[in-house]
Amino acid sequence: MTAVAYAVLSVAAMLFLIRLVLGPSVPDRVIALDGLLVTVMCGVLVLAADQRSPIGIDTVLVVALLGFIATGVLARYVERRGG
Amino acid sequence: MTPVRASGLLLWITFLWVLLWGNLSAANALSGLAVAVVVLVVARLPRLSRRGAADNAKIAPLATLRFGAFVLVKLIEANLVLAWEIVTPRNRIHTGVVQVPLRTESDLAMMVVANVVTLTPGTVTIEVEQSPPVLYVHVLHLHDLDAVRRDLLRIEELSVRAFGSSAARAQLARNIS
Amino acid sequence: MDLLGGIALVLGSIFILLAGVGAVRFPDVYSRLHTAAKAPTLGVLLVGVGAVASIRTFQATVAVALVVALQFIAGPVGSHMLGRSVYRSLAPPLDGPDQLAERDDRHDVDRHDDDTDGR
Repeated sequence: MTAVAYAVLSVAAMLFLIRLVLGPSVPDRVIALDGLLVTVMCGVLVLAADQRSPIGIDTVLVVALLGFIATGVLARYVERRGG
Repeated sequence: MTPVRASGLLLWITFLWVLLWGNLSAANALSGLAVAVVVLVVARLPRLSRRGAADNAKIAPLATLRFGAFVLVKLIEANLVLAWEIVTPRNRIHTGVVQVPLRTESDLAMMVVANVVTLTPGTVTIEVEQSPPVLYVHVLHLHDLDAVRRDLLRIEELSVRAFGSSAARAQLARNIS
Repeated sequence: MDLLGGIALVLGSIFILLAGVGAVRFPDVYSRLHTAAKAPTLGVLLVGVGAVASIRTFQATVAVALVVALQFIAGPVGSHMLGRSVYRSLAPPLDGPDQLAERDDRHDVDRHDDDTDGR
């Protein structure tokens, strides 16, 4: 089961990477980065479920917080400097 | 900040600290308390609302459950609509920005509605104005302005019924009848 | 319980995949923004539920609940900020009525306003 989850998440990560490279504007790339962060967070949660141990969940919390702040800061940057 | 709110926050931060450390020991609890005090002193946490105590949330448990279920259902519906959009050709997109004047003045309600709107099918909040309380929402399939407004005002109604302050509930009752 | 958790994990991952496909497939910024706001939220919720179902400790449950709550609250806020910045700076054309533009014209707001502090 977790193997399937890993596989699906890997495909999702690759798709976000494509948008990160392609995305013609900065907001596109911000969306891709945020998506990548969420994918990684879910990956760690799947790992924790697989190992039946709460390892890495604190990391997930920190990543979630920092990711949100990063999105906010980048949004302000786009607003000031244009796409 | 009121003593009630301060001690509530102290307890919450200490609880989180002990939880992240994993085991409940005297050292963990005391260091947690110290961290909580430092955080409260250093960070100037904003007030929950401009109007202070007048905006105190009065939580109605059944209405809150109903609101939670509503949000969940709308979120699932939004994702299914997205999946459908991805599979079928996209020539049905007709974007626009709708102005949604809210009926209640509560900051908490406005924040919750703006959040939930982003989670409902086809809408994302773009701009928020505080007085008078107005939400500007970007819609993917904009065919009927009033229908969109009605749906979003329903969200406001459900959330105020769940945890609106007495002032907000009164405003809602006045505007609905 | 483990089986249910596994199913929730896979289901959540599928919604994250949906977000990824949406990010690549949709033709303009706004629709990609819509996807990024809605799909990861449900995905994280389901994966969180799956993780809690597999690790059944109190500590893990509270930590995962915090992560899910953060995604529910901070996710849409981040999308809102991005949407606002896209509208103000890039301003891609809209098909239908734009009532925010009408309000901006009434208040004489410069849409490429550099000074966003103090608002």
